[in-house]
Amino acid sequence: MPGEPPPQVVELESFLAERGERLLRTAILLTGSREAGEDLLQTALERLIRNWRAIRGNPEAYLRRSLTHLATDRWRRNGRWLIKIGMLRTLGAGEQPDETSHVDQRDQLVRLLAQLPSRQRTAIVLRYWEELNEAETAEVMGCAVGTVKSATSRGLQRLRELSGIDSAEPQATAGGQQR
Amino acid sequence: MRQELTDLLRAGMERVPASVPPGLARHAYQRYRKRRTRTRAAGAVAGMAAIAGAVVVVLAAEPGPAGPRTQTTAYVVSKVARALDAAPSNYVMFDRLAGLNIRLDSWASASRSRFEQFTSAGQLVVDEGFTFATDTVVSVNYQKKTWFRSVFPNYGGSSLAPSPSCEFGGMMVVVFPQPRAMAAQLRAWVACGLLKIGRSSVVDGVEAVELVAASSSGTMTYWVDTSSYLPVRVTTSGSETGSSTRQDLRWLPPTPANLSQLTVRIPAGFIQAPPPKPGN
Repeated sequence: MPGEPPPQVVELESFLAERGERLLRTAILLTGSREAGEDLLQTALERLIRNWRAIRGNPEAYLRRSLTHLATDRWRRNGRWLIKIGMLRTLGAGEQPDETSHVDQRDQLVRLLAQLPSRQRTAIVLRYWEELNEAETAEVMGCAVGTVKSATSRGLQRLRELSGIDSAEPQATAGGQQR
Repeated sequence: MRQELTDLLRAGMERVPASVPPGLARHAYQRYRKRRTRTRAAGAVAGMAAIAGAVVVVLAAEPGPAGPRTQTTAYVVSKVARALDAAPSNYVMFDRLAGLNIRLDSWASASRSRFEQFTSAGQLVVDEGFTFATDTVVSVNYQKKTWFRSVFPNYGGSSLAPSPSCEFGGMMVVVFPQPRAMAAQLRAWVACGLLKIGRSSVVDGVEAVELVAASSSGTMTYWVDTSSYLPVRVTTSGSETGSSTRQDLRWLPPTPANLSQLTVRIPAGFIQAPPPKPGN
């Protein structure tokens, strides 16, 4: 880009220096791969620049909402198979997770996120990574609080089944308001 | 218990590497400007749909100032090459080639590859697989009803995945596509300035952008998925021979069913034959 960048780009660069890593991680978790996450964030930034004048002081909320909607659009467009593969390999049928290593379990759970349907994955990322409460998550996703509750609960249940972690435990607090 | 699962999940999310590439906001701004320019160009001739289409294509193909154009192509190719480098570990690549009076279906993973060659009438001629770790080839000839097993060093290396160069011929990637060979070739071409970004289009329902390499011997075009940066189609057209080929690529999850496509099956009754001598 020849010459000085416009002020909004300079402002955006400084915002990204502070919050970019967190947003990129959200994008990676939503898409299932680093490449797709970077591309998603760049598309969201492009959308932000286009609507810069309409954004009043909170680019993060706008970007988070854009990431969520763009990821859903992408998922619909590309079909499940492309998204499912993602960041890392998942366990094959009959394989058991390494119970001795919490590191393995943590990484495994993130890998398995990519196997969830879009809505469940989005709800879990917003609730447990972005740490939004159910009302905030519902606002970002553009759905009812009840939908967030059920998507989160089903997503966690599916992760539990796929990972084999605490599969015997009851869901005592499913759908609760914990942050 | 549930708390433990969510704690582990949070901890896993924290561990996902995520460093923002430098210049991301500027790249987004460039894309925004480019899109706005195209939209305005198309809008300027609204009502003349055919002409509008031509204007958009011309703008996309128009060589801009050397810096930005080179940077944009290099940026896209770096993403494509990275995706291709990582692909063998994450996918089974399926490639269907049509043209040159044959059809070739091939599969490739990190450890094995296989192709089936058909006549233009759809008759299976050869089914051949290669295991990288042992350099072992298993090949079935359906016309002669024979098969052989042999060790062919460099089968999947220099002999069929040519060294990257600034030159190319129409048959280059057609013979035996390997994701990492494609990545090396694309990197070489962008370093030579041979590769240009073309127009965007939808290929089999996937939004894709063209990477076009043109030389005196012909044109080779990669259509790259703008989401995954993996090629979904490769075409060649020879300017002298007039021949053309088309390869459609699919990146399949490594499920047992897809992995089984990498295995050659020897039909009952086929006779084992001595392997051909090197060079044949």
